[in-house]
Amino acid sequence: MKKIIIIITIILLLATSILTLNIVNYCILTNNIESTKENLKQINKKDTDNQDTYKELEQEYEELKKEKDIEIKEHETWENLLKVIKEKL
Amino acid sequence: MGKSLKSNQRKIIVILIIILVLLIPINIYLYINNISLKSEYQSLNKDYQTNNKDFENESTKIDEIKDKLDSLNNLNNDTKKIKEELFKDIKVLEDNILNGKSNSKIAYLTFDDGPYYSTYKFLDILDKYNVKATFFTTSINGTNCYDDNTKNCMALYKEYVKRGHTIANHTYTHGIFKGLYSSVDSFISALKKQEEKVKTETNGYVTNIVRFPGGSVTAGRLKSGIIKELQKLNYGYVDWTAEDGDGGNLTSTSAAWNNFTSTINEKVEVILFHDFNKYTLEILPDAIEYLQDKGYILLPLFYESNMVKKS
Repeated sequence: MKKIIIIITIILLLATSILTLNIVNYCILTNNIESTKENLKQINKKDTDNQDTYKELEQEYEELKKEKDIEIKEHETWENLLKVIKEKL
Repeated sequence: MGKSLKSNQRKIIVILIIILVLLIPINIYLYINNISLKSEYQSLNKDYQTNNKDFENESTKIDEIKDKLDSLNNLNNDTKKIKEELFKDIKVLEDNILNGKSNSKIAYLTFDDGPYYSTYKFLDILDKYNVKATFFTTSINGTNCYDDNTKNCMALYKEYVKRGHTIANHTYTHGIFKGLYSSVDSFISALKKQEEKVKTETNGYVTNIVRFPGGSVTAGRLKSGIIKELQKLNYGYVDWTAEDGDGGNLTSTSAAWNNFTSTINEKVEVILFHDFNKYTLEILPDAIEYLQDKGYILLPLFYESNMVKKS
């Protein structure tokens, strides 16, 4: 009878340990999920902000590019000529 | 006594089994729940990683466009630096050529008297060969094309720069027989007026090279006085070493071609053309190919060149 009690007690201890592990695991997972949700929320917000910033900058760039069309062409011309002359020197 | 002990042991066993029976489903439930939580966490984490990657990509794109904006904002400074370096290099190359240390050849294509209503055709040919030239501009008709009071060609000023050519000064009036050379002041006044014209039409292009209408010899006794004033204004002047004769009475394409080829003899040439002449327009593609075949590098003029005289 005593042996049965000891075996059952050991099984019970094992079950309790597994229960503890499961509870700890549950807590960790819940915590991780919450923090990832929060991070995801923040990254989405940052991403949206970034997209808006990029759109604004892109528009600014396109406008400036149009405005500086002549200067850009001039720049390219001199840059190409510089390459030609460097080759000859 | 023995019976009572056995009875207690049985009770303990029963209690332990009850606890065990309760624990097992709780464990199973928690285990299954944890698997589901883990899967949820993995999915969320995957979303986070993807979004984070998007965010990083977007940040990189922002950095790139900021760099582009910076370089556009600093374009004038960058161009200035490139031009300084280029002119320094061309000057070295020119010196080497003139001292016989280099076998390279340079030809500066120059076009006088525009903007003209046929200038676009000249620009298209230059574009086709990706050749950059220098246009000595005048404003004989004020706001209209040279030689045609009915056509406005002012957009050509921007077009010269846009297509990578350089603009130089050929005086506002070009009035060789209308008082341009009556005094130093009249010449300088016509020079400054054209300088303003170029600035206005191009939103700020500054030139410091002039060609005397008719060539510097036309200024006669005024030449030295004009040159002194040009020095004060930081201007250089340039004549030419080769031409097709289109400024005079050119009567045929073959005459233009013969004139042109017979004057190409030097290692550094400044070639005079006029962007109003139909014969020049006809020979221009062949002229460019002729020069390229002979190994000339075709360049627009610049102030530091040995060909632009300062005294």
